[in-house]
Amino acid sequence: MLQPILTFRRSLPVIAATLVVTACASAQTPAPRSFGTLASSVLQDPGNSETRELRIRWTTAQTAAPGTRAAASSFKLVAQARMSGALRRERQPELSVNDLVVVVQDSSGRDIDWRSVPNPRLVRAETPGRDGLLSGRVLERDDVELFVYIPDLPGADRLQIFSPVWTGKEYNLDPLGQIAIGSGR
Amino acid sequence: MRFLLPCAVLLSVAGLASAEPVVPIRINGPDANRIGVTILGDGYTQTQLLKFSTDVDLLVNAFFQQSPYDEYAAYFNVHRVDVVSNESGADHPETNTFRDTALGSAYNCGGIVRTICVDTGAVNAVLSRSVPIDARDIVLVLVNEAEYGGSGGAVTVASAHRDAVELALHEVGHSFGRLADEYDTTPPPCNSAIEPPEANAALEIGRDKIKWARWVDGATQLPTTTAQNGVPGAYSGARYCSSGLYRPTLNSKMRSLGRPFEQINAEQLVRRIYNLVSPIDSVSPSETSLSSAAGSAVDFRVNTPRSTRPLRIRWTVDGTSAGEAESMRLNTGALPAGNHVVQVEVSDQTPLVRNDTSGLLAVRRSWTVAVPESGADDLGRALEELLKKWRNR
Repeated sequence: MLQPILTFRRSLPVIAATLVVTACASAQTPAPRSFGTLASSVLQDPGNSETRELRIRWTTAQTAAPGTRAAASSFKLVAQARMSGALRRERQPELSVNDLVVVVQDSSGRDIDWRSVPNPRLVRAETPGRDGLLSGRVLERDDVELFVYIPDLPGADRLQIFSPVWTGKEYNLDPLGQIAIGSGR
Repeated sequence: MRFLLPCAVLLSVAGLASAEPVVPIRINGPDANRIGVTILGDGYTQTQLLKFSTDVDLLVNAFFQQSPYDEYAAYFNVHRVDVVSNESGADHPETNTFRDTALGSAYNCGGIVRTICVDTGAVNAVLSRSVPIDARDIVLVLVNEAEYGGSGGAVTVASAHRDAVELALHEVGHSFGRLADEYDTTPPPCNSAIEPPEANAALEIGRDKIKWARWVDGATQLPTTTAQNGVPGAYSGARYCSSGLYRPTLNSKMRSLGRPFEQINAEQLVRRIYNLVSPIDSVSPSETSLSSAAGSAVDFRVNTPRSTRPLRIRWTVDGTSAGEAESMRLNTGALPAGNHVVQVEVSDQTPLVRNDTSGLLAVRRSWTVAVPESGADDLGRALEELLKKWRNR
């Protein structure tokens, strides 16, 4: 049984001209999809010099069944802000099961950008024995803040959040949820 | 799909939180073409910031002493963030000891004594207000505690214990290098039913099919049962499975601390470095379409990161070799009128990488140079002069 790892005992950092979003959870989750198809059909925006920072509260509920964890995730946009500087684009995107994939869509549901971000729920607890040989566990936090950085694209309307699942040949994207982000303008 | 819940947006203008001082430790080039390492301190009080500076230097020096980071140190920029805590040290819940620190470092995370967790929300808040977005590809929190400890994940955490850098290297091997654990004990659960995604664990070990086939000597048996360090093969036991999955070397840093990364992991780390860093920093001229009068010279230049092993530079003009230096002068007098293609290719011929199917280690830039007929050139110059005079009226 994992103990709750963190409590949010500090006040949220403040950012000038921050948009505070009170209720932007989506009632629907997106459909599963293939990462290969996404990466080949949606190019990451290369040249935008403005970036949007999205601060998302991500909570997961445990199921009643012992030893199992509900897949149900709840996402809530806490704040967003603009910042200068372009996002980096990987020359050869390479996913990991420790990542999340976020897809930015416009109001018609068209994909306009995607990014991979480290999964903030996962903590690798690894310790060496006397000979240096490691052993470990992967801990999961129930309640985290997910920071997502996306290019400040006109038309951005919603964010879909996926967890990569390796099939042995490729990554499929398992949907976790989606939230409205608005244009932020 | 439309959202079912209404989305109410309020605009609030909040007060500015002061940004923490960000101190450059190693700057080797433009942030946009370097891997940004940011180190934040936790449990350092205002009067302990000098100690933090010293601890960071020790950590960074130890980190970049290990291959392949030593060869590619010039591909990284390193900053430290002077985060001030109210109290020194970290929480030790197992002894009911609690400290008021900026990033909430706590040992005994998940009930594991030497695992330190931090408040990633607090870490991200510091990054958000203080660190440029392209300077934080690798984020490390250094905890002001002499006792060994740390953890991995979105944020790598290490105590100031001198051996904790080994754990940091291992964890960055996961987060940055996309490497698998090579130890063979559970938990985490073993899954030997499918080919793992990582470069350093394999289910398929046929001589031509194993991921790291280019590293395996023909005389090495597969699976490999000899117990010799540093010999690529297929060693039983990897990724939490005692059998069914194979690791590339007997004992690497992804299995045991205090060991080198070894060939296959080092190769993957170099590929990951080139995933973010282009071997070309900049070129000149910046325009890709040029016009040059017949008989004049055009100077081309390519700037590259300074690795310990020089990169190979090859210039060509219309496919013909034209030099291997950082700069090249094109004398258009030797060229007939028309368009000509100048290309430079910069590549890393490092022996650390044998498998670069994505071509990450080589980059090309090209220019088109138009050389006009001499008569047309005279006419063009005359028109330019007229235009200049008209603008200066």
